[in-house]
Amino acid sequence: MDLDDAALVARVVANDDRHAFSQLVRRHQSMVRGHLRRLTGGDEHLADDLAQEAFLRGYRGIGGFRGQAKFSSWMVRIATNVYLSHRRRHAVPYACETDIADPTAESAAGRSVFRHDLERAMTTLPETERIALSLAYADDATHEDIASIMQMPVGTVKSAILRAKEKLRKKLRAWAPVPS
Amino acid sequence: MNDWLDEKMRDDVYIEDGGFADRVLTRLPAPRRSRRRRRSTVLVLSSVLGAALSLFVLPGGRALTEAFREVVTLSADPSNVSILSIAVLGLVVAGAVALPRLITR
Repeated sequence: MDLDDAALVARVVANDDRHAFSQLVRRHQSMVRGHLRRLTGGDEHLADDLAQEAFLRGYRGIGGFRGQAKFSSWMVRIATNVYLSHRRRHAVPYACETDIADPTAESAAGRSVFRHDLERAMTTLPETERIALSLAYADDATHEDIASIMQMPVGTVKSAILRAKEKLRKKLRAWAPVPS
Repeated sequence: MNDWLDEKMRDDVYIEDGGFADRVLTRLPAPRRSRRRRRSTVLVLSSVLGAALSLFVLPGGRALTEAFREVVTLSADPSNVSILSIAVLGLVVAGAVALPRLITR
């Protein structure tokens, strides 16, 4: 029987149960790594390094997890902070290659070409818009959640997401369905 | 937010673990010493300290140190050997009880 996140967290806190923590990592790694890939413009190695760091921070700080938010929301908040710390240390702009591939093709690695194009297109967005948009899809976070994570007003978050989506719609227009 | 971009972004591809979780686990810090183990350590250290104090301060302890001295110098009388044997036996039993608690978490 699979335990829910709260039960797994309780085991980690009470008994330093590493098996329980590994279950939490397996359960949420895709969401965290996907979020970080979007933030790093599809740099899988960097995103995975940051995701590992995020889970390590999560492990160290799990005693402070009060269960007021979902564990996944808590992790995505940590992952965002890890990414921002990395950006402060390495303030290097990402390469902005935005050539859009053939929308009918599929990559050999099985990742959708759309995802690849999306990650690249996101590198052209200002940081605030990129983070806000990625958070909106990472964990179905509400605007209030995102505002809390990014420490900015809800209105600013909403307009950042709208602007980001508008820019992406233009950059990824090759993926838009043809009107019938 | 129900447009084509929204649908495509929500149709997220699951990222296979591919050993990621194992890599995270290998980087976790060393296991914490459990409270039980800490308590056992404190108990054993207190016992050793108490035994040492009683050996050198209390009258009974003096008898033990005297018996030990006689055994070492091969001049012990049988009653002193008995006292020493009982003391050693007590220490062995205490050690046998405490060590497994100390080793296991």
